[in-house]
Amino acid sequence: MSHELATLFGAGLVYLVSLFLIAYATDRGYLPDKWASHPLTYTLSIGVYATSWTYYGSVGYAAHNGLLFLTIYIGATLAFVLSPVLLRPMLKLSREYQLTSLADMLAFRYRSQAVGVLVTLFMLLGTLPYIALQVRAVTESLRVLSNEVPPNTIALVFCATLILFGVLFGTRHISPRDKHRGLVVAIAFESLVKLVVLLMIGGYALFGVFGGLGGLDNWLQRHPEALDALYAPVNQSPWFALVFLSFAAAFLLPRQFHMIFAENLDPRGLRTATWALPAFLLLLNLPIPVILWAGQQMALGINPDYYVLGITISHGPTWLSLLAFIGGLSAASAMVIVTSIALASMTLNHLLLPASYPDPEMNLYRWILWGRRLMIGLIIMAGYGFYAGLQHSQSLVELGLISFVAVAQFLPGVVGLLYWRRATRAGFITGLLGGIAVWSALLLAPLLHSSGVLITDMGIPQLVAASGLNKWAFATFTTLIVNGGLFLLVSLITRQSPGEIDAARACCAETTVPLSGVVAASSPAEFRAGLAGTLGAEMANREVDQALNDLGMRPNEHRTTELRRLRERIERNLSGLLGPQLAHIIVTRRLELDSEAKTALADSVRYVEDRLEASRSQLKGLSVELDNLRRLHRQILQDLPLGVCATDNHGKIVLWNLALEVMTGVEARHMIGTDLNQLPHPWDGLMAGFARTAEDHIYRMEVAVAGKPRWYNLHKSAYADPGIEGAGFSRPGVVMLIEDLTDLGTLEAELEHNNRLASVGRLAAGVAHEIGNPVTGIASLAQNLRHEDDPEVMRQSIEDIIDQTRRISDILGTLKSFSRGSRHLQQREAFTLREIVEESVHLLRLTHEHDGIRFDASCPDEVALTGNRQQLSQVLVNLLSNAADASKSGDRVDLLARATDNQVVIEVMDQGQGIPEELQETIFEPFYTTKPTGKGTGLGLSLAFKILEDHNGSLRIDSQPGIGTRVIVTLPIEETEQPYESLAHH
Amino acid sequence: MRPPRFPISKEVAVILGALLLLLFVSPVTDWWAGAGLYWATPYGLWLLVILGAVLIHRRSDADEP
Repeated sequence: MSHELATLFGAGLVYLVSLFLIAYATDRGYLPDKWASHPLTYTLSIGVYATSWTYYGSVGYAAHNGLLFLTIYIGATLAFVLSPVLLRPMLKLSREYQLTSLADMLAFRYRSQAVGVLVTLFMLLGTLPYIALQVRAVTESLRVLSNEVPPNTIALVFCATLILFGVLFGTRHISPRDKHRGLVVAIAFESLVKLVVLLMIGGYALFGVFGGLGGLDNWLQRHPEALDALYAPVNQSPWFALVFLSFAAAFLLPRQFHMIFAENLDPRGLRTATWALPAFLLLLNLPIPVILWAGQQMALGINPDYYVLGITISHGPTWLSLLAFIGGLSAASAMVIVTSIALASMTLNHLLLPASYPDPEMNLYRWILWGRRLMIGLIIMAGYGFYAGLQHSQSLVELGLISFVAVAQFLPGVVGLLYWRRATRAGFITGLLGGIAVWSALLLAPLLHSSGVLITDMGIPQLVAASGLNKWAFATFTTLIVNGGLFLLVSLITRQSPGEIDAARACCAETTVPLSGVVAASSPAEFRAGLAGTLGAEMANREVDQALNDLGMRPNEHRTTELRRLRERIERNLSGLLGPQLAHIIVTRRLELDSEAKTALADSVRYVEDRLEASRSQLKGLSVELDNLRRLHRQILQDLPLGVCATDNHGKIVLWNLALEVMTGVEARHMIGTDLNQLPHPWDGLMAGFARTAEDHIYRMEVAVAGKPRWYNLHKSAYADPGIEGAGFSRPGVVMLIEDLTDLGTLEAELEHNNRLASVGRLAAGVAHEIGNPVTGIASLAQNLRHEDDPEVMRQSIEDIIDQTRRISDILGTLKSFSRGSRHLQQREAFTLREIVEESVHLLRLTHEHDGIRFDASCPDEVALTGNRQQLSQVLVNLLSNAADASKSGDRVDLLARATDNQVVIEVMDQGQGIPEELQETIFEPFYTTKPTGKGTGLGLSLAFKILEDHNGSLRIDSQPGIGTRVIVTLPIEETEQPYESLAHH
Repeated sequence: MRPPRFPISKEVAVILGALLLLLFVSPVTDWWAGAGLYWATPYGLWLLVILGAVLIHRRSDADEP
């Protein structure tokens, strides 16, 4: 039985169209988004590893080499089992620095365009035979199924269709941040198709050919040589070499790198792939021995590479043979599509762009897009050319293994990239060139010789035979010994450039050194202008906007730390578009860096903390304990109910805790790295001023915040160099504590006010009496006036009335002045000491509570004070009142005031019973009183103490029980200038 | 202080990789390749390694890049 070529062509075309539809439906959102992002979809897309080599070639390889075919999948299983130490760091690196290909990654690590060029060229050379292999598998499968030699047109149509697919669905986005979901789903679908079809064919072989497991066992018992042939090669030399090669190929082949890293939608998918991909490969290979034995049992008489087709075409149903063809087509097309997309990006970034960078006036995005499309076409057609030029004598596996040995040459460089910081560019290039030379001699030259391109085999077969090793084992070990040896040796004797050192730190993820240098540009606008010269204005604007958006940064950002981060982000984003080396060159030239500038502690602290947070799960032992301790200390500072702000030696903010965020309404993320002078008003003046002043403590600082007065205590202290690497400390930073007293101050002001009102109440009776006398006098004078005709007497009476009313006014004015007292210390005025002494004594004399007490005041003239007049007057009233309360009728209360050079001393003395020594401290406590209930509030002395403290004065008591009490008040004549007085009026 | 979450997934992965090499690239292969075992024995050993990988997967939930 055979199929018409047209039927097969039609079936193939229908399948490829359905592939287009699946990709299109995914991209347009017709298929659920969760399908594309599902870890199993990701795993199946990595199943692109299994090409026509697996689908057809495994049976052929098993026929000649027994279980050796399994090595190709056991090595891949090893790579995925080791993903926590191999693939996961690479994925992290790829995502963090937007590295879309192996050439990108190696060029980034070794900081060399030459590395990118070399890797790309060798990858192209090593992969073209592999693409040719897929084309050949499709045409051979057509030949087997149709018994006709298919015209080259079919291969060309196949290639053209794949070019169209790659262009449509593999270049929809040019930035690696945007994944090709349609492509991922389509490739996953292809993996599913080849798995299901191969399992169906295996099922047919088992049940259709052998009649079930029992039949197979019986056949094996009758043919023990089949089982022997399967197991015999296990201990032969190629076994280990092939495991090793497939281990490297599983993540280094362009298509593998592209699907594992570049198209990864969610890093968690890799965790699932750790077990799911080996399971997929196991299922894919399970039917291989059964299909082989079925083919042998049926004596098909065709190349075992095509037993998959042969057993279905001989006895199976027609639909199964068509499905078998579709499965093979699926395996081949997936490989060609993904490989061409991956190589196109690599070729563009490392060959085309460096060779002919477009005019900045052009739309660079479009240039890149069309460049990649062109490259996809050229690469697939080059694969076709390779197919057309090669003799068909090589087996599928042989062509595949040549590619495997080629990509294994990148393994030393990748291991160095991940785990050897000392590895150098010169070492990598030398090692790779050595490996390429040996690979070309051992594998490429014989291939070209067998195809007639070379006229001599250069004695390679004899050399391999003399080694006693299999060709693949010999080629693998020889190339890697030369490559690895040169890599090691040259790396050890050469030095790294500064760029390499930075890249090595980034790749090995072991450093906590922050980004060095300061960007010359001082704003994002200057970034745009700088980049426009190379990228064009439109692209420069888009890239700067994108980077600002990525970092959640404001367009007017000016902090040097943040601008350094912005520069780094732009370089990473450009790396995804243009390749890491070109991006590095553009950013280095257009956004110049002052590399001599010292890194501020603010940068170091933030960088170290970010790194520690990001790699916390990797810490072990003592490091974990230290990190826990760090977090504890940080949390304590964060949760402290006082505002904490620390600045480094450059005056940049290093710490801004939660209480300060609440107090100021400004988030820490906007403050870290900022200069104190750049804080929003009024905090700039308050904190920068405090940092400058020699005072370490400022109490009850009044600040107008949002138009309302608030009060703060400020404290500061210098702290020593914490020894963070790269901080460049020469002098200490400053830590400031800000205590919000507003609530407490309000409460105290209320108490003070109430105390004053209580005093007014106590004075009221005396005041009423004092006012009553002149009122009575006025009434008498007024009555007399009704009967008085003498103008002189009338005039005198009127004068007397006016005197009496003036006396009343004076009394009321004094009372009003006392009761109205300001709540705010900063409502200061200049006055003389005599004014408040006389006012206070006058008030006390008004009250008849102290009628029997004599008040004597002695005060020098012209002693000027500055402060809150009402508050200081209240102090004297409280002290005189207390003295009078403690006195008996007939006693004298003396107030003696005197001025020294810089202060005023006021003594209030009574002749009362004195204060017991044990009470001399207690009486300053609020609400403590020795007076009868209802007579005192217990606030007078404590408020007097506080008011004097606010005026930088003092109060002390000298009392001798039985003799009397002397209260001594001191006040500075000229107070220290208040540095932030102006803040109260903003 | 909280203990670190699943800090040993890398070590487990390396141990599992070593197990795979032991089963498939060491003298142990003499046992399963030369003892006349059932033809699917290598697949069974392979499955054993995959089950180990499933265990790593379940333990390393929080250890993501």
